[in-house]
Amino acid sequence: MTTVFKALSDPTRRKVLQLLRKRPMSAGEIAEHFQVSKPTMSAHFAVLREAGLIVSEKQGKSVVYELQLSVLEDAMLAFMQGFGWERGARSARARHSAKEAQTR
Amino acid sequence: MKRMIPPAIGFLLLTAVMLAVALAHRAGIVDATFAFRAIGTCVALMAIVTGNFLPKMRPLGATTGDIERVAGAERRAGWLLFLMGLGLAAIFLFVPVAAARWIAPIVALGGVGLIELDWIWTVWITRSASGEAARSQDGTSRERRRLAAGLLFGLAYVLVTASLKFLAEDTSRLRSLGAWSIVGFSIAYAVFLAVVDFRRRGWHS
Repeated sequence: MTTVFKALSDPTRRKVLQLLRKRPMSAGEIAEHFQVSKPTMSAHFAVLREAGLIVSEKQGKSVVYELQLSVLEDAMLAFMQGFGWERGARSARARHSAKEAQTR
Repeated sequence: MKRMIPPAIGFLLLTAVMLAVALAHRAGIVDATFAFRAIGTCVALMAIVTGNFLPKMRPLGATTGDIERVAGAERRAGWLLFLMGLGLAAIFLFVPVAAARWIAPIVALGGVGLIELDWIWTVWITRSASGEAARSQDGTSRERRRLAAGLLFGLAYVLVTASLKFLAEDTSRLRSLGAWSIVGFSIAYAVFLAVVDFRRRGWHS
């Protein structure tokens, strides 16, 4: 469950899942929608795959990703998307680093 | 395939609990009301477990053609089963037994019927692409679909027989209905597997 929360807490990964709702896509097709480096994108795919939210299949030279969400994961995705989960996580991180700075 | 094990284990565990409750009731350890509510709640949990994992198992399994439509039907079925399970659990836990006896079957049979109609419609309008998709599937997808089909037929069987049992007052008629439903479901399951296999090999091979 922790891996699923971790995977869904990132807006880029959530956007990947939204894109895959329409149809399975190759890594290149997905990467076109983002302005991030290839290794970063691969890391995002790895996190999603590890959480079991997507499956990958090698088709020729490219890797095709397909969505694999359960009902609860789908609900969690909608919830996190709707409430801007990363904003909360970001402010929590900011609070945490401010606290650390104070103690130093 | 590894991720499909939890729903299968959950399904078997719930079946074991249902059997244990039925045996306990027969032995006079628990009363009829408790047995009714416990078995009903187990059926509801079966629907929740199967519904939750259904979209992950991709029972209709389109990989080419109108994927969005097919995946949408699978997602709708998952949500419908999940919500139906929650509704059934609430009925079995909180509604008086006399009322639950006729409300629960309506909800269960209605839900199964809706999913069936939606899938028939989806398979019908995507029929040319789905044959191609079925042929292009790898072994893991086929195994996943087989497991999904087994779980779905198992759940449908439990829902229909439980509904018949709750609705029918006459025990002798109930026994014959039960026997006919076993025969009907076995035939339907065999036909379903044959169609899946036929589509995989292609209609002309």
